[in-house]
Amino acid sequence: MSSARADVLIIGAGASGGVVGRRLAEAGFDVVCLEQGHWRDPAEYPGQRPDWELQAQKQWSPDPNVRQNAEDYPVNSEESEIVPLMFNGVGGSMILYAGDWPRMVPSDFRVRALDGVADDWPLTYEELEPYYERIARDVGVSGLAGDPAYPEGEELPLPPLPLGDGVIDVVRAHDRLGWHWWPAPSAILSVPYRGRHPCAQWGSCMQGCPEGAKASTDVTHWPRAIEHGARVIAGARVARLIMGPGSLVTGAEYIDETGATHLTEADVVVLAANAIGTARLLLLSATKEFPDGLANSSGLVGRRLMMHPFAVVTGVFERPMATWKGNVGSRIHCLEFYETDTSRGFVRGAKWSLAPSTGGPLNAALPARAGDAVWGADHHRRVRERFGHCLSWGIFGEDLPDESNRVELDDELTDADGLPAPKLVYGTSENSRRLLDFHVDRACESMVEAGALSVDKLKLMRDAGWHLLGTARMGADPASSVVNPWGKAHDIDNLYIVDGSVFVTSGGVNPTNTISSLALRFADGLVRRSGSQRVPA
Amino acid sequence: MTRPGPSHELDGELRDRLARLADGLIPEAGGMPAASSVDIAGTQLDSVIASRPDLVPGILRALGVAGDVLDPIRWSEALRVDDPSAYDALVTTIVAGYYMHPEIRRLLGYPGQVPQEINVGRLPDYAEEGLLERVYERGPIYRPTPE
Repeated sequence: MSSARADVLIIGAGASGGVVGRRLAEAGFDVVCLEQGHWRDPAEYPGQRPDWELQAQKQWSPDPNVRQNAEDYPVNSEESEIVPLMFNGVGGSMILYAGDWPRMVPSDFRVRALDGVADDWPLTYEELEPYYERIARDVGVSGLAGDPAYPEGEELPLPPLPLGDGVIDVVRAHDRLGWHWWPAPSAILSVPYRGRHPCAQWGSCMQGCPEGAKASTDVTHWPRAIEHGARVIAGARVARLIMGPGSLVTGAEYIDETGATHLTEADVVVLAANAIGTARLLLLSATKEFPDGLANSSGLVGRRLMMHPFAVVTGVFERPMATWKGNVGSRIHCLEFYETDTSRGFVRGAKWSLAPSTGGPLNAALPARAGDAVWGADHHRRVRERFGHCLSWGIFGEDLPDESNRVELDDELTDADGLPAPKLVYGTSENSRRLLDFHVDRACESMVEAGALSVDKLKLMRDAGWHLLGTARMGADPASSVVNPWGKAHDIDNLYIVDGSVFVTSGGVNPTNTISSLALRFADGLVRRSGSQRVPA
Repeated sequence: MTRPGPSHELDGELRDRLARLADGLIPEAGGMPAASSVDIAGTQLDSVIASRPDLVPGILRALGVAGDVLDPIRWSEALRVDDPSAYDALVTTIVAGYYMHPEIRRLLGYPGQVPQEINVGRLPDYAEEGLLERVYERGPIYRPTPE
């Protein structure tokens, strides 16, 4: 077994790992990152080829069970109402995300105090705000300040992306209804920024951005970290963390693509492998001393999994909108019904994201979108009605934590290296179902007011587990949380968790901005307290 | 990545079956040609398989039980129930082959995914019409952090 050493070992090169890697490398730490996936060349991304929609269903699917790349691990989601989605590679799931970049709102951090449910975060919106602002500059966020759904803040670095054809009809509808809307903040460049190209409207954001205009840490963070000496070891699947004397972690054992095992030792280990991968690794690392997994004295490792129940309301419009071009994420968002109103029969709310729908013609013509009655002489009319004529409200409902929703190790299923795969047990709550019912009805009203000829609704989409949160929550009390407010494991002084696992509650917005901003805050804390950091002898 | 599939197993008879089924599902109508007129079972099938070799086993299963189908739509509905993954492979192959063809794209007015510079210099309609201003003027809708 070969071995190497670093000041800081980061496991996972996605959103949070990239942010922490860059910050620590810039501060002069010797950083090594182990990433089970690879660097991806934008020339590989299928958006520039005629078969892009075909490959989006398989080779570039966000579902690792469908994609089945060698670097992926399978996930048993038979007992989960929502299928988890992710990508393994430098940049992580940002490679395949839409680039939506909303912040959480102040009440998201205080759901117990305001609504009497779940738990408050150990920090406030105001404490995270400076990190939201720094991250916005690092990734290059396009948008407009002044959104009344948020406290006043500084301008975003880049002007907003264009709304695209047809969106103005929904904007005018919300104006008539008196409902909130605002140009959506996006981690996609609207103009050239720090040597990167702006969006070229390829319309294939979710199969990788051929232009490098969409922020992902392989573009925005790792190159800078590497300039400062950081090393990314790709194709490295971590098998377990290694514990040493004094309840300190000494490093990690990983398996390379040839099957050889290696050891990387470090003063500090940072987990950034998403809320499924991180929980899995802590459970895989169980020892005689820690039989229930590492950092798990609270019993909460893997518990409180949250994935944002997701609904889609699609309006079919008469006017052609060329919806295959431009960014595929949110063009405008609506937080009109985000805050709790108990008269609705549920607490908390949801963000709506208005996005072009159907993508290319393949998507518009297959039964999943066009319906099972799409065949025969009527085929062409149905396709023409929808292709380039649809806008969708994507509705992310807040997913309140429930300890029975969890990640555990599967008894039989393994990855290609024989390591136990994660198994998900996850169900939606009555609150979530009522929440989605209400929001879907309101979103239908929005589409009708905007002039939609017809409206399709999909409540609780199964293949929608983009947002993996909560399986190692943070808090001040070691009995009820896994890490402290600075991401440090209560049980292990030199182990940090910096990904979406630490979320106390889910909020109702896309989480990558908050994950990245929290990671930057944790990294700042690590730098500031490095002098007093306990490390292995 | 999946390895290239055994396209040689899709012999002439199976390709003929595919063309007949495809014409039943996507016939000539409304100014659009039938599937077989764009060589759905020839070059288009080869292109689909080259991109997605994982579809081959499902296509073979579907075509293997197709025989002389009189009503392709009714037959496909039965296949969807009996062997959903074979149905998915078959209709994905037909639809992808059809809509990847340049002539079909031209008829649809779809140029493919092509780069196009964005123009953020022009004042958006929502600003010109004062729509954003009215949202702002309605005031904050968030609940502040409690003391």
